[in-house]
Amino acid sequence: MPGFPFLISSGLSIFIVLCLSAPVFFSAPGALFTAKLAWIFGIGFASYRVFRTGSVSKWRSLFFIILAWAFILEFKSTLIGLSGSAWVSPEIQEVPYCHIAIASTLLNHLYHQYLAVLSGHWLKWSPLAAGLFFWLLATLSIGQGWCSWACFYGGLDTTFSSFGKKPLLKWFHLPRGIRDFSLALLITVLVLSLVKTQPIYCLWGCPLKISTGFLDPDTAIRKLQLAIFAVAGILFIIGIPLLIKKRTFCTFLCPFGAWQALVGRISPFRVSIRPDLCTLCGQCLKACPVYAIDAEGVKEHKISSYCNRCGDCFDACPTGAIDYTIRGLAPGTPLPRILFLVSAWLIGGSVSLLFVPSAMLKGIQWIASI
Amino acid sequence: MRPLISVLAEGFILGISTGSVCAATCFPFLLPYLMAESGDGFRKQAFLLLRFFSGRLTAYLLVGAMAGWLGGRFRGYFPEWTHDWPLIILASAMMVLALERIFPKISSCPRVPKPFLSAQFPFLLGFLMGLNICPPFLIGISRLLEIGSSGLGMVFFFAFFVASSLYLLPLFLILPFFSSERMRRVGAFTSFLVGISYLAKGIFSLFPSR
Repeated sequence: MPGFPFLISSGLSIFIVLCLSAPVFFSAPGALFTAKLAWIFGIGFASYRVFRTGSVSKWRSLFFIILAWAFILEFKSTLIGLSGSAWVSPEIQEVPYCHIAIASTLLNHLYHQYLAVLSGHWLKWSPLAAGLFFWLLATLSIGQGWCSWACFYGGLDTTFSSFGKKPLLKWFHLPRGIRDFSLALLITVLVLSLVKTQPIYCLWGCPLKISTGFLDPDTAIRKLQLAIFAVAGILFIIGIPLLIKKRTFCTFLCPFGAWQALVGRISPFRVSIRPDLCTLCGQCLKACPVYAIDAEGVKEHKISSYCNRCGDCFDACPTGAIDYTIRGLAPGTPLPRILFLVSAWLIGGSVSLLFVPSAMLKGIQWIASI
Repeated sequence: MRPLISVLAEGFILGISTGSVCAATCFPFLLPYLMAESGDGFRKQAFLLLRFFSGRLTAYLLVGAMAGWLGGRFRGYFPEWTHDWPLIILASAMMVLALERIFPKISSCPRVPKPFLSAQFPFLLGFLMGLNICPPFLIGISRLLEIGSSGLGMVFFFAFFVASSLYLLPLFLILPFFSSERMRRVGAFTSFLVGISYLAKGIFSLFPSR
């Protein structure tokens, strides 16, 4: 009998099943229903292993990688059904709407809401409102943790940064100030999107169109957009993560990551280094996939707000000096870890349930047809 | 006296009615620049902004006088390239300045002392922003070509400058947030990214058949 961890994990599993099972109850019995149940069981098992072993990184990464690739599989297969092509699709030219767009087009939505209010259309909510509500709930709960537990793009560079035990290039330190590039990118896309009344990041910078449809390259500008997409994607999602074992897209090119670093402070959860246990070995700095810990941070036992609560540094720390904490609560108690992990599995699980079971079925069908 | 007041009012009304467009043109350049360059203290930041405004005013007065003097001689004729080059120069200047901020050891003009360049850049930025031809600016020029007087041209654009500057005043409110070294670095990166964006826009505008 594993004792306390077992009680926690089984309680968590039951809770997840209760919370996430609403869509399952509304599903007609059949393959999809079974897939949903199987996925919920999978989440329960992963959370049990995390509590049982104390290692967050391994099971979270696995869940996170499945989340990203299942999202691509589900979206791409839907696109094939709609337009007959998974690649360049002239019919689908609308900019995809996702959580990254929440950050980069926020000013545009606020402006449209302002116009709606001025024109007396009090009930004319911007499309952002629903997404904003869910985002706010998630951010209140796990803050920056969204980027390592629920973002269906983050698993892409996580996949490629997971290959191999040691990095081929040891780029553990960034030149001063480079980590703030994503914040500059956020400010740039916020301002330019408002000025040009276009989602600039989605059109020009986002290499995550790999999950959705590409624009047809019928003009020079479209060709340039496609070239930027391809270069940024190959370099920052595949190439550099393979070489240095860091999530370089999330670190440098995601404006939402910078946004969460600013707004995520409203969440009570933090990741803290206990000075009494820290030996200044620097293993956390090497393990952090998003450069949230630098040399000065290790000396001062501080982790920057770019930390997205992935837990990789916990497992790397030889003395167990790093853990989740709650603002205002003394470190060293297991409660923050339990509360955070329950919240993170719930939110990540809720997001994943929207597309992972369906993608699982499609994957099985494809394999069977081969 | 009546034409003077009439031209003043015309310039002011044009500035007020289209000032949001002017602000939208200036804002992407001005915000990151202020972030990158503003030092500690409101006075220093405000002085920076005032030098920008003086550059913009100089450009407006110059264009106003020119457009008025040219009168009907070149009425309605402005080659396409005159619209794009100020933008290209401005974007390139922003990028060069941002790179100097990001890599302090690099200097684009080794013979000119850096403090001199830093001191003159706000004026240059304002001047180039003033020359940057946006729709309200074109409306003003076309009106001056009809009026045909350099003096009235300067009056018209002075009033236009005062009215359109009102939309940029909120920048004074956010200046205090840009006083940290970190925000200056972020501002330099932002200047560089905005510079790239507008440089691309300017270059693409030179080749209309795209």
